[in-house]
Amino acid sequence: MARLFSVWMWISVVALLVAIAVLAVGVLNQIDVVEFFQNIKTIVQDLIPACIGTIYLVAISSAIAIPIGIGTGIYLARFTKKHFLTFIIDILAGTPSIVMGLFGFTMIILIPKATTSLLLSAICIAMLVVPYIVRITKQALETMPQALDLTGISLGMTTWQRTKYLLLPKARNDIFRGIMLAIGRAAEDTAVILLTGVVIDAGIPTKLTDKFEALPFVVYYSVTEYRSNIDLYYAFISTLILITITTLTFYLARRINYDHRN
Amino acid sequence: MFVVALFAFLFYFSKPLIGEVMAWHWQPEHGHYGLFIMIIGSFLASVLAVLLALPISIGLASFAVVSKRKIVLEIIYVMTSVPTIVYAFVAAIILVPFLRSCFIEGTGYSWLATSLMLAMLVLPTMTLTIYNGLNTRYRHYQTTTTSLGLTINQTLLWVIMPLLGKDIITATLLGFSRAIGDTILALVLSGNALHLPNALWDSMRTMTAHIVLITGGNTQDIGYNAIFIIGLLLFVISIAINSLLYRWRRG
Repeated sequence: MARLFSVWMWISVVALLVAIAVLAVGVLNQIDVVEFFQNIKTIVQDLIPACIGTIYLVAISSAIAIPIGIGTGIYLARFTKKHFLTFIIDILAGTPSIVMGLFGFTMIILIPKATTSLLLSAICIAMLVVPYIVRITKQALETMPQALDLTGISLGMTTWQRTKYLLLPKARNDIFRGIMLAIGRAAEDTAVILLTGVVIDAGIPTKLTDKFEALPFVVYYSVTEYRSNIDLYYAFISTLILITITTLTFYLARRINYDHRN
Repeated sequence: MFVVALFAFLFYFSKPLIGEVMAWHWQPEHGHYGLFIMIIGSFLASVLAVLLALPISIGLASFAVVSKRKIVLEIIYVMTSVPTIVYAFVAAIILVPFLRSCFIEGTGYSWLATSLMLAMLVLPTMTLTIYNGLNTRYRHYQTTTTSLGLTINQTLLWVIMPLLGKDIITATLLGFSRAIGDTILALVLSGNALHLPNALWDSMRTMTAHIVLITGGNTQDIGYNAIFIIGLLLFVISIAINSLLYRWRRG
C-alpha cells in the first residue's frame, strides 16, 4: 500500500510538471521570433500608457490602503478584544474580487456625479487589499514576544507608547511584507478594474477622474479579440511584465518573512 | 488615526449590503430562470475543478513532506504569485485549440477548459494548506513512528492521513470559494453560452462571467439588476464559507 501511495505522489508531481512544461513550451511556440523582434519597439511604446496606468493605480490604491490597513491592524491587535471586527476583516479578505468591483459599480449609481474612473478603481482595489494588510499587521503585532510589552508596562508606558516605540520597529519587516503583498495584488487584479474604469485606449491619465489603461486589461483584451499574431505579442509582453512584478513582490514578501524568522 | 480606520472599515461592511439590497427591490422577471443556469454553471465548474485538484494537491503535499529537496515547494510558491489573467491567457492560446481538436464538437471553450484551469489556479493554495497540516503533524509524530520502524511513506499513509480530515475539508472549501469567485478564467474559457452544458466539452456560463457580460453590454432593462443579485449571492456564499472555516478553526 505504501508503494501505491508513493506512486500516487510521483504521479502528482509529474502531472504538475508536465502541465507547466506543456503550457510554457506551447506559449513560446506561438511566437514567431523574427516577427516578434521586428515589432517589439512599437509594442513596447504602445504599452507605455498601460504600464503607467498600472503604476498610477497601484500607487493611489496603496496610498489609500496602507495607512488604513496598518491603522486598523494596530487597532485590532492592541486596542480591542472583540473578535467581531476581525471576523469582518476575514470576510472582506475572502470576498471575490468581482464583488468588490460590483460594489464600486454600485457606488456610481448611488453617488450622483460619479463615473468610472481611476479614482474609483483605486478605491475598490484599496478595499480589496486592505484586509491583507490588516491581517499581516495584526499577526505581526500579536506574535511579538511578551517580554517586550511587559518591560514597557513596567516602565510605565501607555499602550500607544509601547506600540509606537517598542513593537512597531520590530514589526517593520512584516509590515513591509504586507505592503509587498498589497502591491502585487493591486497590480494583477483584472475583475475590479473591468467594472470600474479601465479601457483600452485612454492614454495616460492626467486627472483622477480619467479612464485609464492597465496591463492586466491589455492581456484580457488581446486574449478575447486578437486577430493576428502581433496582437498576441502585446499580451505576451504585458504578461511578462506582470509576472515579473507579481513574482518579485510576492517573492520579496516571502523572503523577508524567512529572514525575520531566522 | 485608529478611529478613522474603524469608521472606514465599518463603512466597508455596510455599503455592499446596502447597495445590493437596494437593487434587489426591482425583481427581474425574465431573470430568475436565466440566473439559475448561471448558478449551476458556476457550481459545475468549481466542483469539477476542486475534484480535479484535490488528489493532486494531496499527492504534491505528501511529496513535499517526504522529499529532501525543496524544489516542489518553491514551484508551488511561485505558482501562487502568477496572476489569474496569465492562466487565462495561456489557456486560451494552448488549451482551447487542443481541446477543440480533441473533441469532435464544440469550439474548445468549454466546461472542461474552465475547470482544468481553475484546478490549476486553486491547486497551489490547496496544496499549501494540506502541506502545512501534514508537516506539523509529521513533526509531531516523527520520532515515534520512526522508532517503530515505519518509513516516511508508511507514516504518512497510515498515521497522518486519517488525522487530516479537517485539513482536507478546509482545503476543499478554500479551493471551492476561490474557484466560484473567479471571474477572468470563467469569462475567457467557458464560452459563455446561455445554457447548461450537455457534456464536458460544451460551453456554459458562470455567475461571475455573467456580471461582466451584462455590465459590458450596458443594457438598461430588467435583466440588468441580475448583476446585483448575483453579487449578493456571491457575497453570501463567501461569507458562508468563511464562517464555516472560522467555526472550524475555533472548534
